[in-house]
Amino acid sequence: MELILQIFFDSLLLAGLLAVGALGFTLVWGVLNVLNLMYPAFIMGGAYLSYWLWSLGFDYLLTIPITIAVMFCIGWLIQRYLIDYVMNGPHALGITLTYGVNLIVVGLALYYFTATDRSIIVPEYLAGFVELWGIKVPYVRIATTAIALVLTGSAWWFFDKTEYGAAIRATRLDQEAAQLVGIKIRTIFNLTTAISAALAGAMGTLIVLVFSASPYTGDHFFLQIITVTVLGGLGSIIGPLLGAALVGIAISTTSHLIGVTYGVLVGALIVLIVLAVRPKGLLGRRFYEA
Amino acid sequence: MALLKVTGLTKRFGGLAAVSNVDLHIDQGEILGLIGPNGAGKSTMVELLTGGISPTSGKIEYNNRDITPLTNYARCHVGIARTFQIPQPFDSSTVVQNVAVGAMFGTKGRHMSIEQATRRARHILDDVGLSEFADKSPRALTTAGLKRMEMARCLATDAKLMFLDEPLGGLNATEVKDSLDLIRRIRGNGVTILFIEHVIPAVLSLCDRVVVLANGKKIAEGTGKQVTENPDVRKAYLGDLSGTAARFAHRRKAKVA
Amino acid sequence: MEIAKQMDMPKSARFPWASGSSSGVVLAAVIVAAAVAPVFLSSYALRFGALIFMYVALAQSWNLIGGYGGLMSLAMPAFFGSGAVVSGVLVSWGVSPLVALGCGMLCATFIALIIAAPTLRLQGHYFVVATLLVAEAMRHGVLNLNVFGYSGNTALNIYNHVGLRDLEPAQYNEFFYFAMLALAALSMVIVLILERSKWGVALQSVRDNERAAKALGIAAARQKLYIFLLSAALAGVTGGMWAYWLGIVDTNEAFGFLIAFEVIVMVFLGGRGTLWGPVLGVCFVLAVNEWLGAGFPELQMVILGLLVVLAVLFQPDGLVRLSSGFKAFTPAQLLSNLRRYKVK
Repeated sequence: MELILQIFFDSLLLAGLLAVGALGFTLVWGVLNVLNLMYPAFIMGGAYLSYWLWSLGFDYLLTIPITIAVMFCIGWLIQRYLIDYVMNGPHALGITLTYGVNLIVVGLALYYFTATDRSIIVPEYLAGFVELWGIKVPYVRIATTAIALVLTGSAWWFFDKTEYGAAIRATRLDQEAAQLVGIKIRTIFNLTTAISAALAGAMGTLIVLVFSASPYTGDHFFLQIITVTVLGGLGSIIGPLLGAALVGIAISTTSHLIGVTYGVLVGALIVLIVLAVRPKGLLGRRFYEA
Repeated sequence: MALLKVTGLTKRFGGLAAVSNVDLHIDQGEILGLIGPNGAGKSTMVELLTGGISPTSGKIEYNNRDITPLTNYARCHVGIARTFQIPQPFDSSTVVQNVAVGAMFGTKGRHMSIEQATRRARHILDDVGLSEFADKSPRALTTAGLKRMEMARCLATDAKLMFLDEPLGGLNATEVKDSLDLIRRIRGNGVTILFIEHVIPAVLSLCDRVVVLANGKKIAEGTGKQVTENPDVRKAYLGDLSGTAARFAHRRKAKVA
Repeated sequence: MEIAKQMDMPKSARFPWASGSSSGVVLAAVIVAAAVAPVFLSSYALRFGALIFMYVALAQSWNLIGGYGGLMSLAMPAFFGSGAVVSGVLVSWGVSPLVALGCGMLCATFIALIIAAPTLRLQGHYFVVATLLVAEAMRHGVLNLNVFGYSGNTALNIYNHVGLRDLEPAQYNEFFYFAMLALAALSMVIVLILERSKWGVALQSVRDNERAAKALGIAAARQKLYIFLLSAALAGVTGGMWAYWLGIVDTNEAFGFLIAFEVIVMVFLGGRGTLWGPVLGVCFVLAVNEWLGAGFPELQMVILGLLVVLAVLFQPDGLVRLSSGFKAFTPAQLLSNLRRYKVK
């Protein structure tokens, strides 16, 4: 019973983190049709940025909105000055370009921060744990999961209720048609990558809150994000969320029952099997549904 | 003698029947026109007949042989070729190389070397009037030129049955005339042709017989004249005119009153 | 609506059909020169040479699927790694090194065969992602492997089993110089044959327009399968040789993405879908690494990333454009390249 509860809370946490991360990744893939291989760099960037701000004396929770804002700007610039130049080319160029930037960022991070894990000291108001049904759940994890859910909810609200969100959805459905109704595609592209980077950065920040940061953090979670994205399909906002839930459960369960390294293997295998059966992911490429 | 015989051809996508129980045949040496309003199933028919997609049910016979299970490249080997509505060139090759690909892998192609195929491609380009573009990129061609190149590519495969998918789209009047002349010459060389088009006068002037599709079903078949005078065909293209006339009259009355 | 392609071919990748191209003679000359060079080369240079040849073999193996095949496959770690692990393990059990090498190659090809059917029919980015996942799944799978005394998560020392431990360092380097040269030469010959033959025409036609290729009598799926298998086999045998050379089989290194991505970058830098492009790319990157010195692996990453970003932006066709002379690299031309694919 305790094990099940442990798995439940771990799944919740992982699903929350993955939901935030996967939403960001799905955005660029779905709207710009670019496989953003520098997404791990965004995640890592967010993680290190928060860590650095905290090391300067900021309260950790305060670093979260700051990091999100900074990553938003970085995403915008990356789109405007880099990815924009390969948008009309073959897909391979976009993949290689983003991979190159990822190499640069991860390389620099390795050089300046070295490969050691950095972790923060949990702020006092989050220290400690609550006893639920016989197991100890750290406050920090509850807070992280809550923040992740809030972010996911905000993103959902943004895409569903705001004009810019609608414009992004329209662009994803049909770029030409969106242009015809007056949507400025370039601005949408910049906005999309910016949001994507912000979400990635947010995921990075939250990762540091419960785990730690290293230059490999992004790569490690990237694989899981890809799994989630493929499972959930590109056509909706709920897809990644469902995918995150599934993958979170799958990985947590496997990690607890068999061992951590098996978790990733199981995730990858699930995706490959799904792709073999449904080449467009579990939820396929349907039109946007809330 | 029917070169191609199609019986009960049906293709369903989920719940929608794009093509429903269509029978048709094309005789040797004939030019058969396939027309119909948008969404009638013409493109699906072409894909089915050339092997791009497989039917839900029905049979396709070519030279009295059941080719329904054959893939598209296998159908090319037995002499079936097609052009595309939106031209599909090989961008990183020259025009003569494009045509040579057809020669290399088509019906007689198995034994042709690259040099032989290229030489044959040049001959064909001379025939169709594209020799000045032979060593240029397909990007240098206009739409008319690209469509002509596609026909040359088909000719290179030594096809006996050619499917021309809206070859006149995007062409001006002169280009249309030249295109029709070329098609007549191709038929003159013994090739049977299925001609899908929207441009009705062209269909009427070129085709021996016409088949009309609407909503996935064959609704008429006959000579061009017979088909255009068919009331079902008119209804399919223009809608139910009697109802429109009545509503129009009603509105006029309302305005005056 | 346009069918989006994965790869747009650089100007230098044309079918050089029967154009009297002298590539064959040049290649033969280069191979002969490389074969006699050891007389003049120091032990260190021999080692560097072997490294170049190994990367050439790998680069051409990826060039087959990514350049000529037009498929952005990230599965190379799976094939390279299988070759390395299988060859290494077999050799540690006493199997003859040559036989073990063959087995490694067969294993890599077999894995390619299994994953070909489901992955090759995936469209767009899904294919890329699937190949990446295959490589990662294999890495984790082998890490967790514990069979017949072999444990995937510990490095396996095979130095004593390859049969070369009695060699002096200079001779050791010389041996692998020639071994890797053989693999590189093999890979170059394969690509040369591809470029000259109908097989190459068929493959590149599939790459350029699969729909049209199928309508013209080319069995597209088969072409993709064959090139996928060939690419895997070449990567597998190179992996085995690499394991012998290092003397150690480490799962994370064998199945890691470091080498694979380096190779892809090299092919892009040099010019994909060409015979000499990958060679240029390999030499360029390895030369830069040498110049940077062995002390800063992280900086090597940064420089590699920078190079590939610059290449993608300013000269996506690759260094091979040098064959058109320096006019392909004037600032005006580079700027025009930059704008070529820019979103409007």
